[in-house]
Amino acid sequence: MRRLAPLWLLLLLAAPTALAHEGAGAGIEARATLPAWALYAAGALLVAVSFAVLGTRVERPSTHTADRPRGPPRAPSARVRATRLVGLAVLALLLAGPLLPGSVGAWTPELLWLGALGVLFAWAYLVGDPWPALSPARALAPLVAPRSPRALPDRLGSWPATAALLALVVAELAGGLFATATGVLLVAAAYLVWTLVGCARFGPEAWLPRADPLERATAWFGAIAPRGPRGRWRWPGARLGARAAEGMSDAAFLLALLVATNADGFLATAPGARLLAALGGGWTGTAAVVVGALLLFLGFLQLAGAAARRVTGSAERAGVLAAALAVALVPVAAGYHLAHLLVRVLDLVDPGLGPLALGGVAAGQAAVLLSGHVLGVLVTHDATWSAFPSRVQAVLAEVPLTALLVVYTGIGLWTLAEAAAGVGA
Amino acid sequence: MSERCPSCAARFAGSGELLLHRVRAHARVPQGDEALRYAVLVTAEEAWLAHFRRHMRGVLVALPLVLVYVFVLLLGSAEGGAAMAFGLLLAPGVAVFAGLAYYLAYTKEPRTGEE
Repeated sequence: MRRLAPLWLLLLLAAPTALAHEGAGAGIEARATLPAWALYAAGALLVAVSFAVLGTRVERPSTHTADRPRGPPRAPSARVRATRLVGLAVLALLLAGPLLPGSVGAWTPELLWLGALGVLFAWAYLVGDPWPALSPARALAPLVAPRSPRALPDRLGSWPATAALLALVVAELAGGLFATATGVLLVAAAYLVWTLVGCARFGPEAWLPRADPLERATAWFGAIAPRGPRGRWRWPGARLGARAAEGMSDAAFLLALLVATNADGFLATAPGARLLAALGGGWTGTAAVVVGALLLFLGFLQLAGAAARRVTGSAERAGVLAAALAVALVPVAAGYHLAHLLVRVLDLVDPGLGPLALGGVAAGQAAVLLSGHVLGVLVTHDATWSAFPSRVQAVLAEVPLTALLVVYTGIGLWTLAEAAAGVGA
Repeated sequence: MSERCPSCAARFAGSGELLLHRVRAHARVPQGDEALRYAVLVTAEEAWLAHFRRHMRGVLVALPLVLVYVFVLLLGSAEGGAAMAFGLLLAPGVAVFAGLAYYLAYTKEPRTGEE
């Protein structure tokens, strides 16, 4: 992977530069000179070209990029116990929001958005996974951990975390629970109950890695970060290719991350709003859209797995291959998350952005999104080389997943452009 | 008929794939006939990959020519029918030029150690 480093830099720098000029006027000027589909096609083409560039430098990645397997869980150090107090303090603030004085309590939604969901995830994929040192669930788990925990069935996989993540998304979109101090209290209380009841029944080491959506999400995002758990520096995403999703339930969690980071953008578009209205709106309509999106993306992933099986002649099941290749979606989800976080932060700093600034924001979002997709292609390259013994199979298997990423790029850019046009109108 | 790895139980379509897996994933050192088969498999792999790299080089050389032409054509389409028609007249020439560029990049001998 070290020899591919110049290619990484070239591709990741080319992505924002290539679209910055057109994107700056995306909502206004560019529509008069270039049709919108040309911009989507350019973005999708960038992803496809990154596959071709990688194809000229095909080699086996170093096995040293994989993290060493974790040993048995150790007792938290004094430093970790201290930082978990910070996590507990944040949780206490979220729970106490409605009781706090008006101006302070009104900040708890922003604390949840920017703090828990924004900065936490951004820190994870830019610097490293901070959750083990902050988790309030892990801080409180020893108080409820049973002496003889029940066995958590293996067949459940990561479905508990997936269900919890989708529930959070629906609560945000349909209930607006993230917009008021009372709503934030309900969300924080539900998270606490979900994690602690499971810890009391199955033990924290079995329950939290498979049921806490924050722990699972930060663990996956942390694998993109250039700094590893032991302080070693690597290229972004270098550790992802050596990991594999543990079955379709884990792949479903990665897709749920993608849905979570993109759902509000889709529902802000005219077709998204029409679809929500057609499904009845409210909680049931939103749940139908969110679950439907997950099932649709799962279907695409299964197709990609089946195509990879066919072109490589592999004897492994399509579902197993699809799960192994799903790690490529982690940087895509990170790109969507960062694009949304940009808007959130800028809105907080200066709520009254003019049209030119809006165009610049749209360009920045497109650049971040494309960078995530290009990084996804690079991770696909690594993942296929880990999943297949033959280098020929590895290259052939990249084709259907790159095609899938091209489709996601088109959808992502269309969502951004439609949402930006709606804001600028 | 699939074969299973005795170390990790992963499934493979044939003995060739299984051998590659056991050497690369489990650091098995092939002996005797196995070593010969492994060398043959690796040589076939290298030949396929060299062929693939040549195609990708050709695509990367020819693609910018096509993209610039399409971009100019799109800009010209905003000017009206006459500009568009003139632009389309150039299409066969651009196609030939892109094809020639692809062929030249494909047949270029790689530098020592590149492949």
